[in-house]
Amino acid sequence: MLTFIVRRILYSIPVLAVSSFLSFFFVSSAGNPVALLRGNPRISQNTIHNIIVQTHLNRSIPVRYWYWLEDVFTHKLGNSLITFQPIWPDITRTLGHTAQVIIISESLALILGVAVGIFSAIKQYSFFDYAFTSISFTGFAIPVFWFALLLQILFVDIYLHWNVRIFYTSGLNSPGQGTWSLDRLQHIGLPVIVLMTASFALYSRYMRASMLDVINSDYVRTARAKGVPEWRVITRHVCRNALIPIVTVSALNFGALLGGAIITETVFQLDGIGFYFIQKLQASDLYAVMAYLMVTAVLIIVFNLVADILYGVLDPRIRYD
Amino acid sequence: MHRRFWLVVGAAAALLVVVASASATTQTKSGATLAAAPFSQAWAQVPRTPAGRKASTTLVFGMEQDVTGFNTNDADENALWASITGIEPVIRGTYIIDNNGNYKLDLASSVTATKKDFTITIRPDAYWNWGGKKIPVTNKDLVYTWQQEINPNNNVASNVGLVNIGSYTLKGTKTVIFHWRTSCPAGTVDKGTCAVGPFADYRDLFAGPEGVMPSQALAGLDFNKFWSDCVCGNDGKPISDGPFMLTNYTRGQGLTLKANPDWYGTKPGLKEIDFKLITDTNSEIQAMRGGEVDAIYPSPQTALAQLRSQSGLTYSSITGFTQEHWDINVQNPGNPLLRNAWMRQAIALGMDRHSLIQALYGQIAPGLQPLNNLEYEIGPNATGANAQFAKWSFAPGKAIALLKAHCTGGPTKPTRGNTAIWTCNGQKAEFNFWTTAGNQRRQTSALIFQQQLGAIGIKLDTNFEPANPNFFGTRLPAHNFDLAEFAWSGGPDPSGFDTIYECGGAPNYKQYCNKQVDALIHAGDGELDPTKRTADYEQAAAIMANDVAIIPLYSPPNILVYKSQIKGMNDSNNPTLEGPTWNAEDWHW
Repeated sequence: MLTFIVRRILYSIPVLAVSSFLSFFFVSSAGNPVALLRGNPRISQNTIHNIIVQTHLNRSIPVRYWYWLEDVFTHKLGNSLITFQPIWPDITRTLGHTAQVIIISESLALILGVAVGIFSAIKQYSFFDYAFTSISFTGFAIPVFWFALLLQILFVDIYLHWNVRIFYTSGLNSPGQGTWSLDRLQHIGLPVIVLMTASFALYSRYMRASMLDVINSDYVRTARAKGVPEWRVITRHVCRNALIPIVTVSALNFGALLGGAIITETVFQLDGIGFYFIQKLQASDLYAVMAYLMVTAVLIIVFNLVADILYGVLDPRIRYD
Repeated sequence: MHRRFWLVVGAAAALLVVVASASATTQTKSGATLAAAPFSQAWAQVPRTPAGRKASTTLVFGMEQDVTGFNTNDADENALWASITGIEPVIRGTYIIDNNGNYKLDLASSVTATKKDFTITIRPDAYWNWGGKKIPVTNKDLVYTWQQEINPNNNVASNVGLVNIGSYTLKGTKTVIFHWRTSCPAGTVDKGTCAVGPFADYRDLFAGPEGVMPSQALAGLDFNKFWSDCVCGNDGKPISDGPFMLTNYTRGQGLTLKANPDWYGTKPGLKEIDFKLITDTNSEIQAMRGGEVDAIYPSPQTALAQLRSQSGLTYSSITGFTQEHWDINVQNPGNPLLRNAWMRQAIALGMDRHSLIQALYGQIAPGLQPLNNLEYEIGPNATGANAQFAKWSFAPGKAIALLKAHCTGGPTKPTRGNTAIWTCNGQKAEFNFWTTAGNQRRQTSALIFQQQLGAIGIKLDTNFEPANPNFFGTRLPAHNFDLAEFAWSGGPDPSGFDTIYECGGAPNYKQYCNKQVDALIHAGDGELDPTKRTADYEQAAAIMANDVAIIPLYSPPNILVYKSQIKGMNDSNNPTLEGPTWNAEDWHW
């Protein structure tokens, strides 16, 4: 197992290097910090020239990539080309906020998704099964931005009609309350609901399919034949084995979401890493965008590795060399 | 399996605890002497309800864009919201421009200009509050500001006018006499690093929203790097000579202004103003409806109409200084037909600007009129007898008559759905139209005008591309278009548009050139008599209107929405870059 982990880490290094160059190439081609300045009729041409030199826009992309690499290693993830401020504090701050929302939404989605999946499989083709199948497909289909806006309007209308504040529509905190409080939960409640909806749909469908796969296995039939109570068959034999794919899927999903639920964070004005990315992309802040992409790439690689390790840990049949 | 399962659960729980606790605090910048306190710490002290905020004289303002920094003299930080939040109420200038576009003395007690000199006297009761220390604002601050702005190593947003200053004389500690240049070294005029003679728009030179910088507090700091996340001195402590101080700012979240006790003007009616970042306009609207913020200054969107009818809110809409327009490329590689004035006139006559404005802004800014002056946007200089472009208002019949005199094959009358296109000098009246992608207003505009011009026999091929890097980065500078729609930000003084119309001006993407216009613009730039100056610019505007150098469309409205309980905000909707905080000291519950 250790050899497997080390090998995977070593394989990741060239993957990161290639992806960093490709990302740099495409991001450089997609944005030009000087372009937006030209929208100001009074902009000094001397300033445009200065900025071109400072941001190395007059050099080829491989040369500019080298400058970026140098900055990444001399200043943790580099300094912004626009503000000249270190990028690392922004990344850690925003990643922390995103992690907070993702952890809560994924935990709730997992608990509910697994429970619904189990029950749907046990009561296959029942009203409960059909109802939650429909809810799951609705969750998959619903556009995130639309759902987010709908929730905002709904809870503002509730407030206006009954003067009851259930959830806030934007921001991380509200005046008068600390970081860890009911108020913070009221702020992140709606984004959690939005993110949870798609994840719940995913996990409930996976769990249901996995349960149905296991529930008809020979060893389950044997357990029943031996007189084991049904609840014990389900909990001790079926659920545990059915959970294996869920654990790996959730690890992958978690890693992907940590890269930033961009639309959700933008609509709800969460100071998260997805929102940070969009702001920097619009400002053509190349180094900040690259920092985000590298952090996201590392997270995806790490959580892929975690998923593989968990799979090996949970299923003794799987052994990595 | 049993043991492994609980091992996994335990590890996940531990990870949960570690990550959640790590994310519980907002990071502060470590080791940086210029950091302001985190926004979340101040935010926690602000009452959560409107009634609570009223009792504690606090106001929460929705902030639509985050800032890249507060040094609005720096090209990368020269943004409206940086000015509104961190400069206008904090760093004052010689003049302030009120909501009617009038210049009023602010930091200066007197400003005079002659053909030789430009004299500024700072008011005797102006002080910097630098981390609690009271330091007088002096003439050295003006000199420092000028020196920073003309330094070729600094990324200044604009030093137009400041490069006309060659030297200075200090008188006492409050007065400085700047001497206009009488000559420039070879090659510097073309580069824009030097100019000769008086600069008529001298009132804008040290005015808000860039203001006068504190020389003592900024000593030793790099212009391109200071004020990236605070308005502070070289010790990191906040500094202000305005009604408020920027006490903390956190990128991605917001900032806090607290009343400055050393301010020379009217004592602020509020103790604190908090700007909460809400970039999504729909979220801004919901936050306003739900009482999470007390005021917003949103980009104009149709969704704002729901706020017009909500009780307890005051909705203000005024014309701004932005010039949304069509550039018409009159030289290569543009279509040669556009070099003919009659073709440009026909295009203008075929466009119903009123109907476009109604479609875009009818619900949120009723009464908005098309722009009819190429130099001025609002006030008597832009309307009435000075609405020179009004003669090209929608008259499709006249457009067809013009085209008929020079072309063949088109419709005999304006016809919806017409497919007959005019052929003029062997060339079809078909033009490439370009504008920015992802902009709903411009998409609507393109569709409407495509239909209207099609009705009179002119075909418009509409194209959309990203503003950055394509449209502004390559297409416009390469003049690779026939017609292009975009906007320029202007101000009460028309000199900001000089380079747009001057022969060979860098932003003169349409390659318009009229020597008479150039002469009038240059005369206006150096004319200190305001009446003669206005006359020069109006004459230039009249010539350009005749030439149809551009087709001005409209100026998007500036909208301010606030709780009706708030007093002093009825004049706050300011169309200039001063923004709504120009009179923040007058706000009170």
